[in-house]
Amino acid sequence: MMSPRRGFSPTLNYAPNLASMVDVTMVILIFFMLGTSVNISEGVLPTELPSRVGPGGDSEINVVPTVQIALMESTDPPGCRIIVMERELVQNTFASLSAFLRERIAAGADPKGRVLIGAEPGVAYQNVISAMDACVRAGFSNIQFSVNTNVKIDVN
Amino acid sequence: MQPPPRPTGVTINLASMVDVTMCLMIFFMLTTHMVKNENSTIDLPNALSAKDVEKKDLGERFVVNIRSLERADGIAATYVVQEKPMTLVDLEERLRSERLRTSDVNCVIRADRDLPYKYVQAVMLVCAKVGVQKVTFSAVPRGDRP
Repeated sequence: MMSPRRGFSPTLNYAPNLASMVDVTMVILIFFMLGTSVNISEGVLPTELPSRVGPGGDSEINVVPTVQIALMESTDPPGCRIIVMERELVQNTFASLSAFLRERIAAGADPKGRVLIGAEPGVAYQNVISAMDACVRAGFSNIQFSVNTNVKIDVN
Repeated sequence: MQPPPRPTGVTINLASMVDVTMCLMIFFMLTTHMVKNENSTIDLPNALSAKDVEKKDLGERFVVNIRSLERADGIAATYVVQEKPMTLVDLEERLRSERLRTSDVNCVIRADRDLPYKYVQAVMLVCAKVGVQKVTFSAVPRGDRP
């Protein structure tokens, strides 16, 4: 005659095996963690429109900037030409623009003074941001943009 | 004399770990969804001085994405707000209603780096029209790419 089995209760054998679920969940977790960190790695460059412009907008106002920068479309060299206070830079780079602006501050220009950036409609947005970046790196904090109200826009 | 106890299998209780992992996963799923809703995939310009600021420090953000669109006759643009494409007129209406809701609207412009400046300028003009003075440009905080 067989004797009854001794030892642990047989109910322990019915516990679900969670190991595979943990594997899958961890993979999905790592995916979302990496995806989220890629999305939020961006910075900002703030500016303010002149208070006399809005509301009502696109009205012309007269400003006397400390520094005026113009970006003109150019095919030779490709990119844009940088013109500061109506004079073209000797070296057409944003590093030299930043150096020039630093010299202006060293020469007594007010770093809180208004810097006005204007660009032709076809200039690549990166060049406008690079010009703004050069101003900020040189130490100017009040950077504003002049806009042309007579530009045709193609929107899809 | 009692027989020696049988060897028992040692198992780790994974139930609590699954609970925590599931909570984290749900958090990241929801967060990623919110970010995606606001931000389209855009090749942002580079700027070393771009600051990584907290979203709450930007006030009431109104994010305008501007995607460049290659066409036979040049580059056109699409304005996208919360994943919805819109015209400049629609954009002006949306921005005006935001401005009526709160005075502290900050228009965050996210545009492709190769886009002609006129498309960004048009958004700035719309901001001026409706009385939004704070405009912020999104950029990747690193030096120029070749």
